[in-house]
Amino acid sequence: MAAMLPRPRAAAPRVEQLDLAGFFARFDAAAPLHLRLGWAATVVTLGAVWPRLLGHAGSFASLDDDAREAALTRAAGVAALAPLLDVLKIVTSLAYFSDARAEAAFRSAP
Amino acid sequence: MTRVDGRDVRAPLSLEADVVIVGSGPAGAAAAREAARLGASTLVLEEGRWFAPGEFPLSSFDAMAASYRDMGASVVLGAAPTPYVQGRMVGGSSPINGAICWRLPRDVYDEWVTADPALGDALPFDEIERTTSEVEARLEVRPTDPSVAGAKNQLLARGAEALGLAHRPIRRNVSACEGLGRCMQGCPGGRKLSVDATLLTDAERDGATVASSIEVTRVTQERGRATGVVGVSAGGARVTARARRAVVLAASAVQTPALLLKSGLSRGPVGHHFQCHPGVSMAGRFPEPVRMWEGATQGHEVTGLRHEGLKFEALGFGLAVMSSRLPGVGRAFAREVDDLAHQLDWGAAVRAEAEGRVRVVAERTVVTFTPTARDVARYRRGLRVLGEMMLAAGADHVAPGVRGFAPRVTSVRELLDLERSGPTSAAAYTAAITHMFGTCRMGSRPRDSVVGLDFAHHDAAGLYVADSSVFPSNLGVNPQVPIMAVATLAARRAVGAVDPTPPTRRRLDLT
Repeated sequence: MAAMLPRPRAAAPRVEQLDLAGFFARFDAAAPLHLRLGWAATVVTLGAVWPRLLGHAGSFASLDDDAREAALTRAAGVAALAPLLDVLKIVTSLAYFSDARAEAAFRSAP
Repeated sequence: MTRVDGRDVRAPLSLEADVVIVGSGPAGAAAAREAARLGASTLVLEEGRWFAPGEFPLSSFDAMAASYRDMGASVVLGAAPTPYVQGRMVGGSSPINGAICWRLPRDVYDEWVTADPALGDALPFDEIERTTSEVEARLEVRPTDPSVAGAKNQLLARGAEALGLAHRPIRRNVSACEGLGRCMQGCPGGRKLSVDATLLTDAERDGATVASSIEVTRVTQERGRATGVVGVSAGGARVTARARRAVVLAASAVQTPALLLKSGLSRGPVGHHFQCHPGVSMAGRFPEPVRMWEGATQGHEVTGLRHEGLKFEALGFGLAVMSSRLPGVGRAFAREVDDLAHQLDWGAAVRAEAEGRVRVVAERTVVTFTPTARDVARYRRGLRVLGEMMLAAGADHVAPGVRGFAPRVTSVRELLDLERSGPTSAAAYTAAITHMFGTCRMGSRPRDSVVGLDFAHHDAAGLYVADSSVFPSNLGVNPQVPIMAVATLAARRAVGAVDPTPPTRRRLDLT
């Protein structure tokens, strides 16, 4: 998620400040099965399988910022991964803006 | 006024009324209001719960989790799996829709009569019009006040004007709208006159009972007659509701056929002829802040291409939904999100010709639908027109959201390329479905309809269908007001009739 979120702005939370455990508890309770499976497939494929296919030894989380950016950019060029990137955008956006500080920061910006 | 909250119902509950209505959306609420007005004791059963205006959350996620079916991610299956959106609360989708009001177009009605001439006598257009006027008066339908239009709506007007397309402020069911742009999360100020706040409260005033958080699972029958329904409360208890005169199904074009199928009422084209309005959208970036979240959620529309099956609307999503629609990944996506104040999204609603189907598989409702090649051509044309309007209104670039096509477009020439040679697979397009129709089609011939022109089920006496599943086709316009008008007439027939035709005779196809 951190690789997809904007640079911190005044009053907006950084990704590590989000209550992701709380968000995913609510997500798991409310989301239909296919969306939960889609998110699981996204995490496994983009988070674990794709970095290894690109030759990295570790998962996406172990990569530095530039390697993450390169991995996402290359994924965007693979048609089969497009639906997973859409799911990543959707869940990232829902998680980020479910934080009232993020919502308020954007709404109050000039 | 009586309300039952199924979350508190933890022991078996038996209810009884003259008329039992399943669903409290535009159809169920209108049917309940009319049945109660005519003096019938009326019970409305609703799967979702009541929301007071102050309970509507700010964030898209919390709103969708609380009040949308499947968190807004129900999906039609087919060549291009596409989400469809339904509310799951008292008022159905009405409290979380864009408040857009259209009358039943005369040209659509004429299509219906051409296909089934008996409909013209059974359901005269004048009667629909009179009922529509009553509904519109109650809902205070009026054009969007320019003072709350906001940039997204004003820019759409500018773009349409530049292209010479007919456009107008959207007629909406709101009162003293503050332009908070939160229609789709539920209006926190209670300014939307959704059916939970209007038609249902009218029905309650005339004695109707609304039982929320109760999911109806079966229609009960005895000797060919519908006798009521059974269901389960959110508190886990069995609920039975006996109908002394009529059971009226008004649970939507997805849930109503599913309920019939689960009840063993599968004769005829139940679940067939599923039609809808898939929508595609165009995002665009403007040099000045446009603050998409400000102003009437959907305050302006372009009607000039309705004859082609295309209607265009300004969209007013929550920030999360708008963000998820932006192009790019990684830092490029992050920059787009950071720039959210400059981004807009407009939509094209497509009157699709394709027909899908609602089935029940292992007790789960499954909807299948695949757009035809001509429908996909309408997607492309709709996106081209949206893009041209955005560029004409001053956008730096537009983002069609089409896989296999440029993520950002800056010229009309590229938009023409999209229309002429863009992807032909529906799967390449970012689409969503909102309005659904036709799955319990009404008609004079039992072999190709589920209910008669009096809304009565062909097989089960005392059973009526009052929602958009009875519409012989999709409308090409926002259907909530036509649904309310038709459901009012359905209730009038249901309460007025004592089933003069025995079920056995109803099965005869006299054609």
